[in-house]
Amino acid sequence: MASLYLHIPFCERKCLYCDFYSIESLAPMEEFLAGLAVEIQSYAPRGEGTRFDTVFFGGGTPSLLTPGQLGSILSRLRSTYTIATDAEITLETNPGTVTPEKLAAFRSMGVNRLSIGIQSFRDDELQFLGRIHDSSQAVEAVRLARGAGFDNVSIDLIYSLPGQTPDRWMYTLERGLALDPQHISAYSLIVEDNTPLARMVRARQVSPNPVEAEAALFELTMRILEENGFEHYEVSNYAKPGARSRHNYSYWSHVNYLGFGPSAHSFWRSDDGRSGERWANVANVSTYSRRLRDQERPLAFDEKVGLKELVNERIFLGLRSDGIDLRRLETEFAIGLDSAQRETVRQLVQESLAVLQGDMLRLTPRGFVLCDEIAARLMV
Amino acid sequence: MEEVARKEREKSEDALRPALRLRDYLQVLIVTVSAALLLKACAIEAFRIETGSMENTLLVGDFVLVNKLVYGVHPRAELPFTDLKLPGISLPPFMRPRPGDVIAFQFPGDRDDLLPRRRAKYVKRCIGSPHDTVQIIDRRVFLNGRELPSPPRARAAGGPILPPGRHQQRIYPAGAPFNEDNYGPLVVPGEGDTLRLTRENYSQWGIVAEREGHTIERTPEGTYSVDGDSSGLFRVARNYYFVMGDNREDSYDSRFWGLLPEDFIIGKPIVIYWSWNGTPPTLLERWLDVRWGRVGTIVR
Repeated sequence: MASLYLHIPFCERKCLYCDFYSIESLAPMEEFLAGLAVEIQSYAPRGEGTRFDTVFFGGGTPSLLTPGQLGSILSRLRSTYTIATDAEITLETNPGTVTPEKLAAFRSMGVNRLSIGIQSFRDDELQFLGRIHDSSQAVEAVRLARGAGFDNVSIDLIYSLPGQTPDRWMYTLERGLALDPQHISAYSLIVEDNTPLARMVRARQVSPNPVEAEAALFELTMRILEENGFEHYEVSNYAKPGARSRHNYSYWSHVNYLGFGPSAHSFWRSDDGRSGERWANVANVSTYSRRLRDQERPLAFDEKVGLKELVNERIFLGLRSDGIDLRRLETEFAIGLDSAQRETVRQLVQESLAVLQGDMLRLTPRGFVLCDEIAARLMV
Repeated sequence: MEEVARKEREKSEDALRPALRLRDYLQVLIVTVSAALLLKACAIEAFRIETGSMENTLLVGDFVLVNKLVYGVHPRAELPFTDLKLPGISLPPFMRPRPGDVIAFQFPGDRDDLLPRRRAKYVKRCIGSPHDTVQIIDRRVFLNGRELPSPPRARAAGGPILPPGRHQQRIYPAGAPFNEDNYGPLVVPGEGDTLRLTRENYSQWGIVAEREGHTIERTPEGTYSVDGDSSGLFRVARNYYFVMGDNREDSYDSRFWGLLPEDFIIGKPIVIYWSWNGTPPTLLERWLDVRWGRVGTIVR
């Protein structure tokens, strides 16, 4: 099992909170696509003998690609790598960038999962976030997706906007549920450095929600989505049974993945599994394209990941998702929990922050709120 | 001799004068404070609008004067759900709230709570009075089958409408196939009505009966007895109202917490007497932030 990620770094407009790399001009599209083709080809030897089960087009706004552009990327991927016939192929889609024809074309090329960036069903909130769409376009995007034959639709929502009350968040959550998506990603608004939002916070134009308010909204989200038949399988991700994102799962379980495009990250484990390599591309589309044209790797960094780091990541990622398999941790890395960690586990269970089911250590809803702190206590 | 006596008398009166003056002041103060308290208790009260639920009829930062006499004075609202009336004045109403009236009231409590867990005063619009049937179809409000014109300055709703039949968890009555955009029909109960509590309507009337002091028990057959009477019949002791905020997308109102008992009504907001746009830190900035255009606006 392995995954492919493609970063399409173009947006009509940059959102207030977004710290992913993207630019607001489509002008460098041609050189980007040329560079992408070279990069895809360049990892062919590494990918040989590996079956890729998920492909994810993220961004940026990948739905700005024309069907022709997306089609040629997909056929290059298929001719270079072994992609499973039942592979999950996801396209991040923004309302306001798709037409029925475009979606139908994407679907016919094998894209079988849409992740629609709705964020909110309140127009004032969408405006604040700097989104290009309004709430009616959001509803329309889901309708069009269904019409084009997508039966696996995920929607992205954002909560804990400055001053957001539980009622206001419920308004969005309830309208999201009414669209019957298979999957919901609900992220809390994080003030990332180097975003317009961070500048607004520094200028005291907005004040972020207090932690307790954010925690209350998170707990509300967990409760409401679980009551509506969604499984909470990762801190911010909820799925109807059978609709978990296989691509997300591969990130959390140390599956090998190759990332293409500016700022994309990759991870590849050594054959014995006890170490790995992680690298990322430069976050600049012209540098990226130029280096590839010059037959250079467009790297920002390339590092070895040692055993200890792998174990810590497994603990951290496991806690964020559906738990740490303590036995597997031991067999896979030949490292067991030491006595201090075992004591921590005992305390977590005692404090009802986690439960131990067989060998699986899982966080409770209360534990999820404190996920990062708990991970820090457990890591070696 | 007489002269001396007169002077002595004057002297002693002089000595008394400051004390008398203090007593005068105290009297004036007591009378003024009492009059103010009395006025506040049963005639007029100032309200600050804290939420956007009545936008754009009332905005956050508006201050309104509420006429407390018009719907009668209900000291019982101060000691809810008991037969204990506060020693105070109880006055009969001049009139009852009519659909379309903006009213101020004490929050009667969340949907499933017997007693309100927080003391809050709300301003909303009366939509249904006793015996009215309220229904909302695609965010349009119908009263007894006729569409109620939307309030003159109501904020236009633009978000997606929840489809009919889509159950919203936090809606009143619990479990009803209603949501805030497609709601009802629901009949508003009035004083003297006789209701029969059944399995089907328990989530609607159970809390009304309990808040009126009835004891409800679930029989082994799944029906309900009220005060030991297995017929489930009870007499409604108060008038109720169905209220909604003008900002239909952003209002926590009867659609969610249920019916408003008449004795929780404080009065009728009459006029916006002051209006700040925001709360800037300095007095000068605040002064520049006064919404003069709203000052003196009649609430309707």
